[in-house]
Amino acid sequence: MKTVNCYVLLFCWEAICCNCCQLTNITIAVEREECEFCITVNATWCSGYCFTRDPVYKYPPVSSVQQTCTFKEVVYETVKIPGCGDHPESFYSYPVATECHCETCDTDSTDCTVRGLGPSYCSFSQNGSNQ
Amino acid sequence: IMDCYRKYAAVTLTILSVVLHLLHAFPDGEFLMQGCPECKLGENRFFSKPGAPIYQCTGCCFSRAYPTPMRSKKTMLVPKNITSEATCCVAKAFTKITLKDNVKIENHTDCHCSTCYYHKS
Repeated sequence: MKTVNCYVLLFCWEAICCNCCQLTNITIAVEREECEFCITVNATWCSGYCFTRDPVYKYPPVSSVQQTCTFKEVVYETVKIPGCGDHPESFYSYPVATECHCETCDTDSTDCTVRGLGPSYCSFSQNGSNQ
Repeated sequence: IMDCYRKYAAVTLTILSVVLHLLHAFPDGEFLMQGCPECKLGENRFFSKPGAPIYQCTGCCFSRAYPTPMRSKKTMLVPKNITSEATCCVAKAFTKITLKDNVKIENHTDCHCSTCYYHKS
């Protein structure tokens, strides 16, 4: 029983204290522009804390890597979007992260920014709801 | 025996709730925790000299990645399927120092989590 309690404590400590870069559940908004509505989809994506530093030697600029919490592996899933009026239902593919890590931001696949609209942004909600 | 187990369970739960309370007492943002240190000043051992320390901002900051909203994609010259929102531990204030051989460096005096400049590959 002592062992069980120790494991429970350790597990809880790890679960609640690990703010490192990891998969988290998020809600994504998928827009149907012709019908002016959005549907929401649940997915796993990456968020958390990564170690970074600000170089003291900058003149001239030298390459110095700062890491961000981003995907290591991603798969694409497809969702059916209902139609309306003359517009039949359609399909939309979106990326879902299956593994995360602290790494540089890949500009080939990613819009590297400080702040975006958020994954649940919908142009057609009352306040353009975002997260 | 059951009483003994109940006592163990009670102690475990008490410790857990104290820990949770302490954790939730910290403000969001720069978060001090095991394995990922808070963004703050640390000595840069490479440039520091005895009696003349040079400080550098290092530590952990929050970032996340998610699928780019369709609205954002329409405004992009080259649409990207994924958006990364990142902050990095950078100097909020610093002084400029010139070493011998005209090497210019910064001595950081305050830090915060803000815009990254060296995170793109």
